[in-house]
Amino acid sequence: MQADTIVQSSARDAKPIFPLVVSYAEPGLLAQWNELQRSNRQAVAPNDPQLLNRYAYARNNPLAYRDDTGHVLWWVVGGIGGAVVGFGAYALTHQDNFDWGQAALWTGGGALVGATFGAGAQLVAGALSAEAAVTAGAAATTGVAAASRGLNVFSRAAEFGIRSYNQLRTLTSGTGLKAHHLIEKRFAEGLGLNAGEIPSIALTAQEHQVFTNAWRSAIGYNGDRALLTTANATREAIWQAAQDIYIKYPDLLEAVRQALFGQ
Amino acid sequence: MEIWHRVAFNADVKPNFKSEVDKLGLKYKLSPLPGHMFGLVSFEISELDARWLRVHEMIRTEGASDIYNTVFTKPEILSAKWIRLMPTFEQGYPQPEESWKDTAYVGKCPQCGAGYRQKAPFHLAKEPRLGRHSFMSLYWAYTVFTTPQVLAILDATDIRGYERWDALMHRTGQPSQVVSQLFFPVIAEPGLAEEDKLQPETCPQCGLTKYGYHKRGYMRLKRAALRSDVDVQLTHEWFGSGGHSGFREILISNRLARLILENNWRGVSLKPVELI
Repeated sequence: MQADTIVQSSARDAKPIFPLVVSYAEPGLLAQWNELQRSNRQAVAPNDPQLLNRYAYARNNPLAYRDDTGHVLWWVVGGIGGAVVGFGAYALTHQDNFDWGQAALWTGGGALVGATFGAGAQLVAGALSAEAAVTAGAAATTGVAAASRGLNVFSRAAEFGIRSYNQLRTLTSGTGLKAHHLIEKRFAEGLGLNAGEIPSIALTAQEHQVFTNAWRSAIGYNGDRALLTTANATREAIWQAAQDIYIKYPDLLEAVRQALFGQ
Repeated sequence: MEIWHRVAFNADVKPNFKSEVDKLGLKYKLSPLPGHMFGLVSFEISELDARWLRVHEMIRTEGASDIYNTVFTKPEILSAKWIRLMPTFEQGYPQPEESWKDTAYVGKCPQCGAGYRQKAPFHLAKEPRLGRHSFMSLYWAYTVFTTPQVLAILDATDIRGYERWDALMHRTGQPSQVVSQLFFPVIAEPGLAEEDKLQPETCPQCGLTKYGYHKRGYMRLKRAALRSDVDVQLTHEWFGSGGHSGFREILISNRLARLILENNWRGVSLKPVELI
């Protein structure tokens, strides 16, 4: 069994069921790691909400699962090892005048030194784990930047993918999510598109509002100057606005391009 | 008159453009986007603004969304004999969304969207909320709805060239209590001048020629093409974005334009026409 695995309490010989990135999971470190996971949850675990909590190491069920290797007490190991070494050293050097009392003192001293080294080692390991966690967190942050190229930057869009509005509206029914037209519905008629067929993604109400605001900013309407209405929005104007809004989400931009200009 | 532009660009992707906008001291709106540091920058600028040339240069080199239109002053509008009226307050979609074109129109070309005639009232999903507007239109349909108060004044001042059509609530079939449609039955003779400047496209399916939306300066029309016995008429020519939207421009008399401006009725934009 590797040191960075979690096993089920009732089946310790079973195959490891979930790998941890951080070993030697001190509660503080685990909390830190989970915090990193929370802040980067879309990139780390877009499809596994179980990874978003403090008991992720036990899949939110610490009674049923144990992290055998994450909570090993090194000072105990060090203490036992130190005791053995202390006893052995006394026995080797006092073969002619062996005394059980002195042997006990040497064993105790060895245990004390061993335990101290064990605790120190645990701290060092913890520090290394923290560094690993930070590194992993940084990697996860980079992952967010990379994910922003696709759907993972949004709360739950990746679960549903890019689909027609009608399909998505059915799939997201009852979820509280909104099917977001990648090209605003108001332009459908002028573009010759069926509003129900416009490529869409599943967004939260807040995410949906962000994009609505962006479209309004790019090609505002209903303003006093009324620079653009649905009657005078050209395909090119809509495409330019889409590029400004979706440039960091290539999947979305490609879907818009195909809807506007075909394959 | 002034040509106003609405410029928008992604500041994360075009930081040089943002720096330039900052340097020029332009007031802009920042719309955040997920995964972005800045998001979308948007602002409006007149071509009369001394900074426009630099902005224009940046649009050309960096690329940006640039939408423009002409804004006329009140004296310019009131000095014209005929004025284009454009509905600018759009709310809601014609019902049922999937088949409204068949129920409300006849003859709409499936390819260019022009050539139709309205045969039945529009259906609305719900009663409109006009706020301070007196006119409204529907997304997808180039039409004008107005309030009973406006209709009463149009009637009292003997404005000619329109019919009042009910706007029906789709669920009940009952007329809206908030708005009625202004239906314009009079169509002018062919009269668009300088047609070649408006990117004419002839539809291969219906054979109609459609012109690009007129955005810069005065639209020029032949005086002889217009009826003088009405206050509202539609152009003979069809306009649109080049896609599937097609509409006839709504022309109103100076008398009606004055009425709109004096009463500060909102929801339409007025642009004077130059007669030749």
